[in-house]
Amino acid sequence: MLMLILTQATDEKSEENRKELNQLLQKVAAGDKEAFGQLYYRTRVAIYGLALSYVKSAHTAQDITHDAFVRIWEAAPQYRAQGTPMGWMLAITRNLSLMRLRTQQRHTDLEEDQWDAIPAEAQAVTAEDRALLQDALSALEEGERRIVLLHAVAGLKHREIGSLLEIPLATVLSKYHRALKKLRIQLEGGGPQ
Amino acid sequence: MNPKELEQHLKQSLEHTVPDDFERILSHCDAQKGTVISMTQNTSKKKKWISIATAACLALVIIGGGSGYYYKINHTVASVVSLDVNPSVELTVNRKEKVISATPMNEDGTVILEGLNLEGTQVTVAMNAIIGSLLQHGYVDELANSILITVEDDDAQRGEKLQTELTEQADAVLANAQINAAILSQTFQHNDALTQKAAEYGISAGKAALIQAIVEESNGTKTFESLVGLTINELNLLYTAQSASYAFLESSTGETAPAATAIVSTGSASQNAYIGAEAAQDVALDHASLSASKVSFLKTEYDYDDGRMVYEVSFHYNGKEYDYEIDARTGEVVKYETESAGTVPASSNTSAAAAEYIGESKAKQTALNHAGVSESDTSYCNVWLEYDDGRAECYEVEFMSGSTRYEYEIALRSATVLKYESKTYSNANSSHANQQTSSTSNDIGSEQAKAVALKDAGLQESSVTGLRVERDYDDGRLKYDVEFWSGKTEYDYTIDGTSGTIRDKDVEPHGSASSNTSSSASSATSSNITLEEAKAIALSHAGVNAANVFDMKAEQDYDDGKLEYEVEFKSGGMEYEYKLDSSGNIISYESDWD
Repeated sequence: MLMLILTQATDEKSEENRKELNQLLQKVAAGDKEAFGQLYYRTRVAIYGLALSYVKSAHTAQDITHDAFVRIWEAAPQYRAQGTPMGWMLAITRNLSLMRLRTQQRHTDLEEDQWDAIPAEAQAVTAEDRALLQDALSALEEGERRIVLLHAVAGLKHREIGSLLEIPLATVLSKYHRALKKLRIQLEGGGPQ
Repeated sequence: MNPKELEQHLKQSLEHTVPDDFERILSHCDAQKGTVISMTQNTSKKKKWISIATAACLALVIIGGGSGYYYKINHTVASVVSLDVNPSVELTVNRKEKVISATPMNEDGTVILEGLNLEGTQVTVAMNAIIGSLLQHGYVDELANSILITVEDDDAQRGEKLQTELTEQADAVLANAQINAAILSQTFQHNDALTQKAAEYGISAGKAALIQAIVEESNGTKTFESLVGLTINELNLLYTAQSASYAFLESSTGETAPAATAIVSTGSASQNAYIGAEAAQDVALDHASLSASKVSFLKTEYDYDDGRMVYEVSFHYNGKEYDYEIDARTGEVVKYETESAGTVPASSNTSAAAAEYIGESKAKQTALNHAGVSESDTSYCNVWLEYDDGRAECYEVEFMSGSTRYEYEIALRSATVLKYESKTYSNANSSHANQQTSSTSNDIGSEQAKAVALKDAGLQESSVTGLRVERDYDDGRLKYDVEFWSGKTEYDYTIDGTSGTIRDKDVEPHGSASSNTSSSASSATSSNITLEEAKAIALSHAGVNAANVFDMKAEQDYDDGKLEYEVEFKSGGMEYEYKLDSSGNIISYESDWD
């Protein structure tokens, strides 16, 4: 399809961000490891967060994050700056996550989808982190969790989330608002605000 | 905590749990650039693997012994051969049909290639070994028997020749192993877009091409993304189901497909993991209380919807079309629709069998009968169609008789009570206590909340814009937030979710400074433009006359708690998308050939 896209984003911060990520990816494509390191530290929380929303286990999400970055390194030469670099990286992560879920389904049927967001070996985790990541997030539905994480952590716009997850914008919005409310209720014990 | 703070907290907390893994990642990247993907190994499979690996290697080492003579010829990639089952493997092949490199394209592919040294071997021999490995690892069996062989070669003739050779080879090996395999094969020339897409998803270009073919034939019902996780067997089932002409090629061998597509199909994909088309038909007919002899145009085919393989069963009876989706593994009815003259109240994506619904009055009567109450004894009595995800789910009936409140769910198509609850209130205090413990049971429903608000405002639903109803809990109490606009006036109601009384009301005429909103999401300021104004700004920016515009969509949206307007429309073969802030500034716009 012939596409002509004129985008004028006055949302400068995200536009700048996109440009920088694009540049980093170009350098990564040329084998620049330092750029790869920068890319990693800038995006790993988002990649990890999305993986976690699919596989529900901190441990497996770490694995996926590892694999995703290996693939990003490998596939960077094939990346064409058509969409957003973040969207591309997240798409890779989502695909790896889904593939992992399929393998799990085939090999074990006992997978009782428990939300397990705190890795065993994490040191910097505070009681507050635990309350938020483990307890509050577990009150959300899977889809709500994913949307909240993509918006809060990956900084994706609702529209971008919609196109990444292939759901209508209206659904993204309503799930997002519902999720935030649920989180607040969880954190504030449902008490008066 | 406001949404922004909450998100910030979430991000920080997550940061605390993400490991710094960069060194390990880098160590895996080093080895692999350009050649072999190193991935986390699958330990459980390794042991089983050893026996076959040794056997296969032995065979290969002998053949692979003679090393390359003409370096240049031997190391120039002439064709790329990929083999997909679920494991996915890509071979680059030189002009002499010798393997230059073998790359696993996914985790299962790594398992398959482990221990095989294919470089320098004849490609047919390599194919032989890989299929042996697939069999040994249980990736090809009577449950999933489909294999996709793809040759990517800029010399079409050479590619096709290779395709035939490889297909014959694979066929022979599988027949030898007593497997009724289904082989899909294709040849195409290198295609940048496809290669990129394949890399993005970590699949072979061959699988990407097969998925692309299915997507193209699906008339927009499928997306690349949704199919990418499927195995070749599942894709084969879909592919054959879609191209009806292929259905007749079942179990014939070596038959060439019509020229319309380059994919050649031999054998038929296994359906043994599924209940079978006949069983699916029985389930659907049974559900519709019809027999096969009564219906016409009975048709069953595979489809993939909402993450599962389904049988689509459709038939006609009595002037109506029935469409069923039956879960291919469990035989459960996933979806069904009946299309007839009857219409359903605005439901987003399904046109369910409204004609078959029992109707509100019958639903109400069913509930009253069940409760042993006559309608004249009730202080109020409400009935409505309950929707979930845009689909009618059941009738809800609520009424109050004396100090007892009843709530019923009645099935759509039969006068059956699905669920009921009743609650007797002795006084106001205990009613509050009751409600705390099971707050959902006394839900008036969003329709009712909307009606209360509109009635109070003295407006009809048809005359308001931006109508939004949200169910929420405040202080443990169920409430509905109802928002809408009429002209330039914004209405904001909070309706008690249990009693239907108005708890809070905020009417804000455009331009006035009064604002005492208690709603959390709304940070609307008094200078907000209206939706109509937003449309006008977008149209004038695009230089398009409103009279030439179609498919106009405009909505209010919140991003980071800020009010935004999104305006989309089409005109003159172009599609426009605008985003405006609350005071009418254009944040971003896109235009695209429609």
